[in-house]
Amino acid sequence: MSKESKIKKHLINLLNALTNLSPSRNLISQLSLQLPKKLTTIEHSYPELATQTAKKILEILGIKFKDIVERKEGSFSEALYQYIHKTFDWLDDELICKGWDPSIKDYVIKKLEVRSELAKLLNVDLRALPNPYAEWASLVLRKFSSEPMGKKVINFLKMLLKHDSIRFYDSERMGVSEWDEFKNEVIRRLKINPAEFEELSRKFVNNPLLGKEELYYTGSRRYMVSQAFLLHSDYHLDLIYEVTHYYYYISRYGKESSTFVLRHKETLKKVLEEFKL
Amino acid sequence: MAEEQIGEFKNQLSNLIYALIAISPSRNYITQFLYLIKMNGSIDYRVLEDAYPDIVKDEYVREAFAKIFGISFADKVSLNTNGYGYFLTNFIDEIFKLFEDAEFRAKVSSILKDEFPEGVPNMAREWLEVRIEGLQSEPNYGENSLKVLKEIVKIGRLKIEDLEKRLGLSRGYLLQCLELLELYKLVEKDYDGSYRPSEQVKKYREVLERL
Repeated sequence: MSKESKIKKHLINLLNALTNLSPSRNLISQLSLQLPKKLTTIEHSYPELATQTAKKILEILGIKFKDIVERKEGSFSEALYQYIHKTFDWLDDELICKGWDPSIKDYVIKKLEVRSELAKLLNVDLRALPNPYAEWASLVLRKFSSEPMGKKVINFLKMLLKHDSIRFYDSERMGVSEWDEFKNEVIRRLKINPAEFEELSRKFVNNPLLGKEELYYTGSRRYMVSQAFLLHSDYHLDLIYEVTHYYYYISRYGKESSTFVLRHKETLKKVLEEFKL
Repeated sequence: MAEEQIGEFKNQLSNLIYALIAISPSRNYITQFLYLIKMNGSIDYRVLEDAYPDIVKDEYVREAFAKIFGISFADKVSLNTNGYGYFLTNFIDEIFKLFEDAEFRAKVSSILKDEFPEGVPNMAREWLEVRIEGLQSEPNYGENSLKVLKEIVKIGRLKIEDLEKRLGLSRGYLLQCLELLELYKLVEKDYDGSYRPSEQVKKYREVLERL
């Protein structure tokens, strides 16, 4: 076997294996990604993973079956959960919003060229490469498209994707933020109530109960510290990273403002084109 | 209905297990390359160029790998901590931990007995076997490196002067063998200059004894 074809063969095998672990292709990954969930929900949505045989294996993987089914800290299931997020970003890198630049106090969009380099090495069209993020987004939207709230979900996401970033802060102290404006516009145009907006937000933007993950090293400047976190939402579309600025003076420390920065925008826009509701 | 559900779970489990096995460095040349760098922290460019010429010598492949996996190619080759290669090798650690769990292997083997009639392999042990095979196949120092390793395992801890006496090999030659053993993480060097077998070699001693 020539050297080139050896690398190509092993790279294809690796990509296939990595992609087969993505939540759109494997139910165990899908379950790991979406925990914690109520046991009754799991039994209803994933009956094949709720049999005694399945539970025994899943418990070894680090999934705890109690009234609430969750991942054990430090378990394989947790590693798989982190793996899924990293691989979403890795194979959908071309237009992802990548980083916070402390020198200009703003986020920057960087192309990592992972997909284009893979395509060149494998001598295939860019579109032939797997994209676990796009597959997952498409699966989630297909699920909603058959439900009564499907149209609202699609339109909510379309409105969200019109933004590159949305600032938010304490409205009582600093006035109406961009996030408040976005919320009011969604409520008005989709004819929903604030509770429904919060539900959409938990599903696709941020569910505070799921925590957040530090994404990048975040720089500090004189009197200012900034941090960037990936916000987790129920369906893990990884759409937002939150950049927060904290100020600190001699005797005062506090949050100045935060910005939701949109990620995976171009990919999700393309996926949304499939859904005309 | 229950049988259908168990059948579907078997499919999902089988898909997961095959994917994890395929990612393991004993089965994939790319992850083998990445994991060897990770095990060493960094590796001399020249050493890696000899071991993986098709990746390192070819400028086109090398640069593509640098971008795809976040590898820094300088005098020393290392994985950037924010790159996918670094993350992937950490995930491989988790795969090893999982497959080293005898209970996990036994339970999965009993469910997937048609696919794994000899049982689900222990990927950590398999990686050790591949490293030892790699060591053996090194044309100049391979056979003697294996002798050195066996001697260190037999005694438990040896200094280079002890090895010189026991094996009748020159110091310069022994240093090359020990460098190779350290590269494959089969021995560890202590602060006093003595060498002892790595934890994996101690754990799976029978792999060496079989040779």
